[in-house]
Amino acid sequence: MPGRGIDAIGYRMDKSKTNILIGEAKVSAQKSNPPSVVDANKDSIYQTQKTYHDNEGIVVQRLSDYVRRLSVSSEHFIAIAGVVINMAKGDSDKYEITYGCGLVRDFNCVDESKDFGKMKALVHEFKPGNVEFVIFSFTEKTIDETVELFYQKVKELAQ
Amino acid sequence: MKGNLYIEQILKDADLEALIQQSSQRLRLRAMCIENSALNTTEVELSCRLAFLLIGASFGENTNSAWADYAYKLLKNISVNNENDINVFNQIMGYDLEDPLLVYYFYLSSLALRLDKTISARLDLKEYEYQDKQETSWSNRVLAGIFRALFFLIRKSNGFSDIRKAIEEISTLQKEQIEFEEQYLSSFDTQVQTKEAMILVGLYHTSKAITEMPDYLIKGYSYKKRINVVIRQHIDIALDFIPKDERLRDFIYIINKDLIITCS
Repeated sequence: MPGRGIDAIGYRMDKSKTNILIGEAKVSAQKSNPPSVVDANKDSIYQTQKTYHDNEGIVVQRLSDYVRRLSVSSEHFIAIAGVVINMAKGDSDKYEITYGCGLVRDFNCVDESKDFGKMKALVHEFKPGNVEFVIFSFTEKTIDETVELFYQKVKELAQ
Repeated sequence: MKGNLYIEQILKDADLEALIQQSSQRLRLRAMCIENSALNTTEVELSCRLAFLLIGASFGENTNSAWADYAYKLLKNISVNNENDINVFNQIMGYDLEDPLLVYYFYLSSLALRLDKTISARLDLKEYEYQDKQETSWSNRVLAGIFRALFFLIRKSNGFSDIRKAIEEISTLQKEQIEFEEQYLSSFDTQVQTKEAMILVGLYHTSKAITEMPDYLIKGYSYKKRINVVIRQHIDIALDFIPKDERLRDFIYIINKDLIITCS
């Protein structure tokens, strides 16, 4: 959902609770590790996910905006609308949150030991939620080509 | 876990059970002309969220009819004269229309029809007051006109007066189309223009399905076509032209069900 706050939303349902994924994605060709889009900028992955963690009211609002655009009879709608009810009620034992982070990196500057930044060093701040961090980097592909690959896949899935 | 099991699990929550019971009680008191106290914002918000979820479940497959009943009662918790209630409703289940009550009454009357409560649907729609709020976009203006025409057809009050109003609503749109359509489409770039034009064609076919109803109701036995088939044809074309906008597709799908129930 570009420009609407949460970049990606997903869910997984099991018998006892629903796990909701709140995804935040950034692109960086910066040479430093981690790049500032991970934890230094105001709108970095860390700051954004921290805001969602510390203020679930914002998450409820963003998810509400999202479900309003779905088909009400789809399973996707039912899963997320159900989580929104539990979140709004504060029934945290009925859902889990996974803070999903995606970083698109040029293969020349990627460093898997450092690029997770505060999302790894301060992972305890996101408890009881989980953090998943994925770095997208392809050898022999520039960052623009990697982004293009990503959008081609999104387009293909959206058709 | 499948959607229906998930909903059953949600409904086992003690607070939500209490809210549904309270909603039933309020409706009973209202039927006896006993005024209920106003609900607080949290209760209204929860009523809207749960009603929205249950509306979804009510129009899906393998549904439990109790869910439509709960959704109907929860929607009745919303005071249409209270601006705060309407704002909460609009934020949770609105469709960016200038008049949010259109979506409210659409769901309320569709649920009543689904529950075989035609009289309730008519009474509910009698409460609907035409809001003089012009929709800013042409596609929303067409959708608003479709909703209003549908309300008149379901309500059917004052003899043929409401049926005439339904025809007028659509014929006004037809006259306005010349003025607004080109201007509306030219505000988008070429790629978006095609998508928006297809949405408009889909909405025009939905309005055609609606205008078939007055013809059927007025002509009675002398109506020569099979009304269900004609409605279905227009709705199928409408859905073909709107492949992506899931919420709009939902509205059209529910309009189809409403029309079929209304003419049966």
